[in-house]
Amino acid sequence: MSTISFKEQRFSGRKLFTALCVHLVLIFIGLIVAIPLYWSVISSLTTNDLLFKDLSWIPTALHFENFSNALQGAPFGRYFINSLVVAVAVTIITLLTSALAGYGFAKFQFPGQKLLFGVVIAALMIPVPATMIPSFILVKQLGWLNSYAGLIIPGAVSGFGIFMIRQFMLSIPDALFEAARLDGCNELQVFWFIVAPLTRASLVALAVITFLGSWNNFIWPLLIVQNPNMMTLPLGLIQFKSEYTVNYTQLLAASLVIAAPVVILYLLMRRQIISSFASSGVKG
Amino acid sequence: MRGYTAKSLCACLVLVALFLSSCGSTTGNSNHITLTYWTHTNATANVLEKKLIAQYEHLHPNITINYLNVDITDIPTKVTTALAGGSGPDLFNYPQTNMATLASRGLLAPIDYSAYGVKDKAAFDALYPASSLSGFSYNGVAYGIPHEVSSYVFWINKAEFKAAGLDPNKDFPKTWTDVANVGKLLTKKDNGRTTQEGIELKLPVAGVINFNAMAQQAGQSLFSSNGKTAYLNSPAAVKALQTLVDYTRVSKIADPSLDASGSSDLFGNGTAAMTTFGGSWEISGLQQNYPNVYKNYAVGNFPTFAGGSNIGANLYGFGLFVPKTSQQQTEAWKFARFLEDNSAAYFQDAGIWLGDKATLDGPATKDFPHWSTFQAAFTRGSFFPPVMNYTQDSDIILQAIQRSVENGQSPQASLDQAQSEVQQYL
Amino acid sequence: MALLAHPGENSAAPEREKRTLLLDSTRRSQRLKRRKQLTGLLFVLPGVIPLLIFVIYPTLSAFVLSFTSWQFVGIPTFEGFANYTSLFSDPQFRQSLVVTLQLALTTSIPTTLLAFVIALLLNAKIPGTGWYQTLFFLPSVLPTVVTTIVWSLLYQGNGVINISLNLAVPWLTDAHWALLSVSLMMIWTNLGYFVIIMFAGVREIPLDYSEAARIDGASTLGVVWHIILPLIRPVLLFVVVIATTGALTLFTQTFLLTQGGPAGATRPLAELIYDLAFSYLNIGEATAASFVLLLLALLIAYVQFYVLRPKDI
Repeated sequence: MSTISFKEQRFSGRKLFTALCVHLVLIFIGLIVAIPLYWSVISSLTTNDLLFKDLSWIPTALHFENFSNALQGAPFGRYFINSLVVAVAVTIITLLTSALAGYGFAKFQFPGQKLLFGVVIAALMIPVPATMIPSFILVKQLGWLNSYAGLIIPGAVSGFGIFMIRQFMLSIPDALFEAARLDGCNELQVFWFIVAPLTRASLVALAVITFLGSWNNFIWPLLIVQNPNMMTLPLGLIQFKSEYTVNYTQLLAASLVIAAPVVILYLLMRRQIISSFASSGVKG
Repeated sequence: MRGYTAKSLCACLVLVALFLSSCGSTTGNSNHITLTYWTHTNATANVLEKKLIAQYEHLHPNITINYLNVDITDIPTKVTTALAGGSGPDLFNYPQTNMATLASRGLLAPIDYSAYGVKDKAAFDALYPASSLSGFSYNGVAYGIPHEVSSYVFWINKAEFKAAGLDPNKDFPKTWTDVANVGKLLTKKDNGRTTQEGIELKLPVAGVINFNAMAQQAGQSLFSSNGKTAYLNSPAAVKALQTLVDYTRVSKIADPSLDASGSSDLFGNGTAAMTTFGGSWEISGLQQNYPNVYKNYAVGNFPTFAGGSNIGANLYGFGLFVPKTSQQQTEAWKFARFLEDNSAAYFQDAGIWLGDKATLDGPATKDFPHWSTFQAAFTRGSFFPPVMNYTQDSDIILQAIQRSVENGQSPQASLDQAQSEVQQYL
Repeated sequence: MALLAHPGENSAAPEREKRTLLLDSTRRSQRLKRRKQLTGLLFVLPGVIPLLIFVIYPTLSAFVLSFTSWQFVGIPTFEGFANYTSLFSDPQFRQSLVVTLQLALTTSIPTTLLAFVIALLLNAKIPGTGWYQTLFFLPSVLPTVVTTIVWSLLYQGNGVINISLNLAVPWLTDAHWALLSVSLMMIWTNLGYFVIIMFAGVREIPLDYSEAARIDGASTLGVVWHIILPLIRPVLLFVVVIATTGALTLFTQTFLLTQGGPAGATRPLAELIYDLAFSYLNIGEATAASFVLLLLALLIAYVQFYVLRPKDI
């Protein structure tokens, strides 16, 4: 009796200690992460006068009008729709192709596989400035300048996504879906109903990352857009940078607003990422 | 449930594809002309131009102008990519210094005088003072319509002068030595950190052209007048760089660490008591963003070396250019003419001088504060020599300046290195 | 069944039939194998084909351009290896290479380590870790323009960091400090991104494994080293490769924060490529430099793939 209660005591004591340690480390790192974030918010609520001069930790006046002024300057509603259409389309296409291709690379062997996968990896490593002009010429020849097609399709499939899902799928034991195959399911069914749900966490992570990348993408829309109607949100930010002056506070305010949808998406998806996998464990 | 998902997914994809392919630019009818005009963002000028465009479209119902603003740092990228891809705007507003790069590759169309509405070149030239025109030709051919001509003058903060016991009028610096002397009294430090800077140099933005002006004052411009020979390590250049090094490392009246990218406005927010960065457009900027300093600024001539010639800061500017890829060159020049004819509005609304005689001698400038100083600047200065590869050259020069000013290398050694690096770009 | 011995055949028949059996089953398994191969290929094609069209094809065009001196008009003129040789004799290119490698080391290693540690901590069955996760993700969400403005503010000579710690460090205008400053900002920006990925990877490990080990008396460190690390090897490889590639192809942040300064001390190769292409209009050298960078990145990735290759547990 006493041994058990002693063990219980030690167990809960150790658990508390561990919890405390974990929290301490996370708080420490969290502070370092949070301080620049705090300054991002503070900087958006001050005046250009004080911004690079006299900013203190506790601001004396909060200028919320920076936000309303910033958003009135340009048709952000239109930019928002453009950004949303492009980001959603890119995310869906990326998820589909990455899941399919990741599965193919991870769980199948076929001739030329190493070469094709090498192509995928190489695609990741090509520095952006190198292909900007040839890509522009290609898109122009396809007649996709200044269109949703031009904004979405060239970036819709990413080597990043394929590589990522392949790595996650490598961690899944084959046994988990061999059973389904033997039961007579065709390959697509195995993929859709067994394999994909197993990599749900990574697919959701990929979705958030892809959406974020598309949402904040600046360079490609800069080249493709020829008409203010097709501008995306990051392009809309340039109106705060005039020839000689930058309206920093409004620029920051607008940027924070632009960042908000991604945060919301992330919060919605978070539960998907952390849902437990206890039920998917293999017995024996 | 099973059959649904695959089929409905396919259907969705088809719909999306149809939607995508139908979006985007539409083709107009054959009579209708669309002109594309690109310029950099400048809040006041852009508002004015939108009004002018509406007017022009009203006067010419068969023409639509596609007006796109691009951030000033991005416009070279966008223009370059578009021209490389064989498609580009019909008219664009571009920094004068970058003109030679495009012109030397045959990417620009020379001015079409009859489309512009003048009898010939002489008639066109008569509209502008010679100093304005000098920056917009390459190898004897005129490519650009001056669309903004500016120069820097010297600015001081009268309140900070008075607080340091100086008289803003009597002690206004005339030479670089004066700047050093008053600068010492105007610089405040706190445990090694600069809390008030004597002079803001804004090296990443104005470093190269101000350095050229100083070298000119000391006896030799950085390049020959045809831009084909470099004199980066001449005694004049070394003297100019030594002055900058004195300010930043010896007397420490200038502190580059306060603004590494050159994008803050340290004079505007009162951190710097003096600056060499600012043209006539600065006044409305101060009024809008920095009311405190707006009440306390004073301007005067760009300083020189003691006993040096009466040379001021370099002229710089933007021009309207028509690329060879444009399918509507005649219409583009006509539209350019319309914009230029409204030069008085540009000056009044945006504080920008288009470089033309009409505005310079006209009524708009009479009421402009301190116009005589700005006007003097236009005659005391000249454009940066028409080098073929301005961006490479200015990068090399800026790096030489930074090596000495920020990393401590001796000016002679730094400039010797720059001189050898620049040879391949001449 | 029909292949069993027929009555009336000689004694060699069973041997022959065995061989036939074997052949048929080999043929059958070959057919199966071929079908499996085809399936794999079909799964992979929807992803690979667009990559070939929109990424590889422009890259090949760029590769061809690297052997020319195209002045943006007319047909490119063939120059052989001239661009490559002029690059390697250019001190700015050599400086960029060094800067790139330095930045790659100083950003990818700390980021990966930190992301792994944080992912483990977040995975602990302790209440309240969810808030941290959101917090760590936030820096990745902000547009680059915001992070560079805020960090300029922090790194200013009389800015928050110097004032709070009572220093006078020229964070961005001294060649030695500038590299460190850029690295710090990059680590801060990308951390959340990699925490998400690592966390998903750690989460996927069935809890039974670590539970079983712990019941067997393994310490936490033991669990990490012997169970978790091996199981997330593929994900770890992914993070390492991506972090390194990202660091090697970095350019917008340095461009905005320090403009590659002072005197090129923070100008990585990708930024030099950008300058070569769009400011200097030297597409030949820009694409040549891109291929040097690509080769470098592939080489490093190859090493990483080798070191972190899947090992049998």
